[in-house]
Amino acid sequence: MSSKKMITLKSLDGRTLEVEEAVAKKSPMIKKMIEDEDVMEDEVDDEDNDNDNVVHLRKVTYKVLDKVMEYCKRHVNDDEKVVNEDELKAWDQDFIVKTDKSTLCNLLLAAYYLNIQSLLLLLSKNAFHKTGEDKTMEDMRILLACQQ
Amino acid sequence: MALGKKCRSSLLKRSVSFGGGEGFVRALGRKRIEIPDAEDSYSGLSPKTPLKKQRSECFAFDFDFEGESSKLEALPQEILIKILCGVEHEDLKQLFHVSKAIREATLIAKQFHFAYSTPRKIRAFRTKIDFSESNDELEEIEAPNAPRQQRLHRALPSQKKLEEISVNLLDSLEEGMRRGLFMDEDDE
Repeated sequence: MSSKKMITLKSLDGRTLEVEEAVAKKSPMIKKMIEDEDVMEDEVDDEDNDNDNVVHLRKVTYKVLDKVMEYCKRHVNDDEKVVNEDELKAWDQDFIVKTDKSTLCNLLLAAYYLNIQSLLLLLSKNAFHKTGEDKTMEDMRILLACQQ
Repeated sequence: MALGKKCRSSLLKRSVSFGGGEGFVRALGRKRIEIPDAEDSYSGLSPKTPLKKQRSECFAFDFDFEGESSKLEALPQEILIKILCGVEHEDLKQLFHVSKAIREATLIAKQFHFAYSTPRKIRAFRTKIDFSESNDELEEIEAPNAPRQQRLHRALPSQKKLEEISVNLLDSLEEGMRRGLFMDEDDE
């Protein structure tokens, strides 16, 4: 029985989130950080066992990180063929709807920072309301006010 | 210079300080305004000379100031465009006045709208596909100011070239006939 390796992600505000390695690796940036660490481990003595598999993400807050990982968890099997597209799309839309606007903005920035293309694309498409002209400026203001 | 107050809702309150204390550059709409380092906050400013170069320079800085620079504009243009593609064409106009970076991205997004999708204002066919009726109606509807497509024009061949071509064709035709390729042609 294969035990799944867990990775600890440390957010900007110091809180940690534990996820499966495959899920964390949805982000090429995290993937690289993990793999670089593995390379380092061989060269250095195993003194710092506490720091094993902790990835520090200095630009992402815990709240946003949690959301990102939620997305990654759902999409971890995307490359395999057993994907029900409609179901996935429905889940994505639900994901967007559940999240408040300002978090969505931060998610956008995080997706860019973590380089998760599919999430980035999803968020870009949904950044603006499609209904009603007045909403556009409102949306724009929220996006601009967004700080990470 | 008197600084009047405009009632524009200031979308952007961006203050970038250059080397601490020289002054603030505040961007509102299209005008770049430099104001002396003063304590009071302005809701609107009357325009002075635009400082275009400074503006583009300030985005090269790393945005870790105390200032409230917009993280959105720190994103590469590619992503800004993707975001703006979600906006309806008519609404894109409003976004021109937000900032320079957004205006540029908006312009490009605008072109995408027409390259790949039918603009909403024109309803080409009232009923499903009815060519006979719709022609008159099309003329009544005003164009949505679609940006000009830049299609490559092939210049029509000049008279001289045309003559050359015609000659060549005739030549090959005659040759073909000689060779008996055109069996059914009448030989002249």
